[in-house]
Amino acid sequence: MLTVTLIPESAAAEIFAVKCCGGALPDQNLEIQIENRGTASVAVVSRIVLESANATHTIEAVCPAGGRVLPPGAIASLYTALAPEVLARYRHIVLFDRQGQPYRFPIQSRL
Amino acid sequence: MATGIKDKVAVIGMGCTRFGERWDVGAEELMVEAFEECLADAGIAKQDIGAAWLGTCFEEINVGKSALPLAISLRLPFIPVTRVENFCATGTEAFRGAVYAVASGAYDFCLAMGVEKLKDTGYGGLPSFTGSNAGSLNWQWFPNMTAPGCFAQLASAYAAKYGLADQDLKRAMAHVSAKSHANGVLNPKAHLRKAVTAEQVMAAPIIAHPLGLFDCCGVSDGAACAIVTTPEKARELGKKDFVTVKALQLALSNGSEMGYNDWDGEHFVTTRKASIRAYQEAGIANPREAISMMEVHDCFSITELVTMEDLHISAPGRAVQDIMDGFFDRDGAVPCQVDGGLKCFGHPIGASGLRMLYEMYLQLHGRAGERQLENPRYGLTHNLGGFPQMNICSIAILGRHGD
Repeated sequence: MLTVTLIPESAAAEIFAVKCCGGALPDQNLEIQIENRGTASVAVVSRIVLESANATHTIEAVCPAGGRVLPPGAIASLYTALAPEVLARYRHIVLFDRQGQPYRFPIQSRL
Repeated sequence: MATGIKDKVAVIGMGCTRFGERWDVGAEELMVEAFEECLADAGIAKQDIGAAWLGTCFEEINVGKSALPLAISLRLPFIPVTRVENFCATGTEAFRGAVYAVASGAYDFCLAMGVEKLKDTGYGGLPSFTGSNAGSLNWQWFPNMTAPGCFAQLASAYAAKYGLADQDLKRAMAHVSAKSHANGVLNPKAHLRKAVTAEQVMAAPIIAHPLGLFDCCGVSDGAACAIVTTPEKARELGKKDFVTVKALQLALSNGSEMGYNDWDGEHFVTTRKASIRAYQEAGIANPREAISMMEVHDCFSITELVTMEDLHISAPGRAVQDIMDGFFDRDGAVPCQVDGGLKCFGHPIGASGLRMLYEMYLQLHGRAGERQLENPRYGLTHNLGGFPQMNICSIAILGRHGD
């Protein structure tokens, strides 16, 4: 079972900008912190979908590009550039594993 | 018979720039910025300085060769100026030169300056050992070697020796980083000033397993400096409760670690040896009880963790427990990286050692603002230049004169 914590103005943005390739990864302000509380590993791909009642927004520019593999008990984050007010328009965030299975989480309750 | 450096040299002035991406200034302006604070603090005239030492590591990409950049930038009065370089111990090496020059009786006042301007390269890390300008021998000396890779092996070796689960070591390293970031929030001169949680540290992308992005320090631009003199001169200047050097030690690898005959890769031989000598020089019998605060070389979180044992503060295999108990937190028994450390300041190599001493100096004078600790007695700084298998370790201990 995966759990997700969204950190809209993450300190990671500043650290990415400084440490990674001379600012080649700016504005990674949305941190999507994922924890695997299940008993099997999950490989999450670097793609998210935001859903509201009448719109969806797919974001492919998610860091790190290769996704994250979460063994049982592990915690790992994905990062992307998204203004908090844009995020607030949506009700769910959907992650995907390498098999294409979606994992849907409510947004508002996590902010 | 040699009697060591204890209480023979007083630090009467220090200065430090704001560290960070200082696109607004060059290395010359950084030196001037640190020096102006230092000179005002010391209360002497520039003409009083008898000799100076300049510490900078990658001179090719910032100040240029020789010691002239310091003499010219500060318009020093045609005095002896020496440039030194000793990997990440460069700043402390400059300090060592100035301190020993005063202790010898050759000069009344000496200046130690450390500076580095790394961000102009546009690269997130240090200049590479490989590439078109590396020469032919570097490939043989450092085949496929990176700093994160080498220090990740230190982590793996430490975990293997003490039977630590991967997640337990990761969590302790995360505490190290989160603690330093929490301290850096309080420091207006730090580069990175945002708090991060241990979970954020653990969740960050892996650079070299088990080291993640937040386990690695960044690079930055900065300068720091010190003016030193004799205790007698400090008194003549009306200084009271001034700070003196209690110990100043240096240990360099001699190649035995690289032979891997007696070394299992999970500790720093140099730190163990230099710290023992430093405690003897300072007259400290039990460092865990006597040291009030530390600034150590946290180039990677695992470096700080292992160093707690190599400095004989934590017992062998007990650093993880001490870290998780908050022993090194700002409100712990021996606060470590009170100013935010390399994690928050980045690592402009030539400046880092003097930046660490600056924090100890401020703390001992009760001038550390929101970070001020309650009545610290001895402050220890530690630099580690190089890699686990081949490095330079410098250790300094400061305290109030006569204490």
